[in-house]
Amino acid sequence: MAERIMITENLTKQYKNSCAVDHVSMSIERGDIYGFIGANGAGKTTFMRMICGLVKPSQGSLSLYSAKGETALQGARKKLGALIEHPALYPNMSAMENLEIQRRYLAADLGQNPKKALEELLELVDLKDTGRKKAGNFSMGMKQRLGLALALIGSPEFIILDEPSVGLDPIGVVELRKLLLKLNRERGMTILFSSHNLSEMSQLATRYGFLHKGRLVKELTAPQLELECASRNKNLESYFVELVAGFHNAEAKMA
Amino acid sequence: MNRVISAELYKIRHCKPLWFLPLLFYGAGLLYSSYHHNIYNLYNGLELFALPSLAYQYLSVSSAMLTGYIIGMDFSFRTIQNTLSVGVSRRSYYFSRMGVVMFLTAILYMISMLGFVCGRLPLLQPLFRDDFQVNGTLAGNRPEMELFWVKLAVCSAVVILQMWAYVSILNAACYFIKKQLPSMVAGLVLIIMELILRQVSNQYDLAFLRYLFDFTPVRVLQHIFDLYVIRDGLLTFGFLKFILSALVIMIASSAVGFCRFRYDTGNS
Repeated sequence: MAERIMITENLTKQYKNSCAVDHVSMSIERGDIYGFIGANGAGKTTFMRMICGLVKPSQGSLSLYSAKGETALQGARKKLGALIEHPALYPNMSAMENLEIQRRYLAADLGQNPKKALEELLELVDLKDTGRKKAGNFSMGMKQRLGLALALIGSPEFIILDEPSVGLDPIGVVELRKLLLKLNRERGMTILFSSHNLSEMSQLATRYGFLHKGRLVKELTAPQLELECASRNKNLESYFVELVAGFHNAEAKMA
Repeated sequence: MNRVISAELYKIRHCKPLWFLPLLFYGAGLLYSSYHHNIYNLYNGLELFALPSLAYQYLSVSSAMLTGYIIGMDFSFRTIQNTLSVGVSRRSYYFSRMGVVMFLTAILYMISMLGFVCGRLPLLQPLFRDDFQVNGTLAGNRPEMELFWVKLAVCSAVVILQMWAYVSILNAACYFIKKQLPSMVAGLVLIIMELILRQVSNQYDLAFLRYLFDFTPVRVLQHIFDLYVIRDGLLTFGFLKFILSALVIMIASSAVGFCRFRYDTGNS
């Protein structure tokens, strides 16, 4: 069995009037491309924010690379890259300057020539020609790609991407998919991502988790999902819609 | 903490709106050096000691706006999540950033002092005058000149500590306001309110407010000058209370701001 780099046990986030994440227990193995599927408000972003340490869980535990407890997790998060919701950039600074700031926060060792390493990163996300252009003047797709570059500084072993294809044109979506597959296959990067573009996700993910109202209701590997979809003669979107409808019906009956 | 400080200093170096500040402070010091000001009489002709008093207006305004600008930036652009998600602790984040603003405040103050000295020397103007008129409550003899620079350093350190107390209050306020421009405005409002309350307390002889204003940088400098520069009272309660008050303000406001930051970033 591959090493489990992330394990959550009954991870919960309770707000005053709602439970955003409800006792989610799951694990991600090294080398997985884990796709999170859920309707708006299902809890995907909150869950990812808890993994990144941006939100404190109300209950449950989280371990990253076998590290537990806040101090150990802070150390483990140095091997983590994340792009949560919209990319957070300094609009009055160029792409290179944004990367350099993040590199310093991370204290990432990029070798003898860190500037060259950052330039290669910009080239990887197709932003090498931006020069001194301020990030505030970037298109949405460019900002998204810069956000991805920020997540990739220091070659993290595990990256968390919340709807990474938002704002990308169809070519950009394909390029992103190729990039993520390349990172996974060549560098062994583990990826947790969420997307509403299910057809795109089905070409990428090796495992799937379905979130509904904060609960992890189903987990499947890619072959298992393929089998289930084939047996129902449905694609991923239809399968998901049927799954959610099933839960709504069950809730209505209980009520 | 080192990585946060390194990143913050990089941001400041690449932030063009902040480039003019050293020039402004140097220029202000030069400007004050070029004319005789009545306030010098309060300091027995030792103008270099009076500079912080003169410079207080732009020192306090600049500190207020600098704090709001730097601290509020990460909230306005949401870049705080980039920092926290790579394992930077909240404590390191909060105190390192406050430390950077304090460091800048001290540097700008010293640049102003440098401007003043540089302005005086070419004009062959003395840094102190023999024709001073003793005035107000700071009447006294000329201090021992061998200790001039030591006493100046001590007075500067006390004034910087007072400015740091301001910075720590404004820093904490930024974590409640959470936006760059409103934070800068809040800093200005605080300074303006202080000026208004000072006028009110003078006009209406309000003892409580007058006591509070005794701990503002301008009055602290005047007290320190009298207690220490003239009368050599270094380790007296009168001297130490100004240092202690600044330290208490820094600790209390940092605690409040940090608790707010932890609460917000843990529960968002």
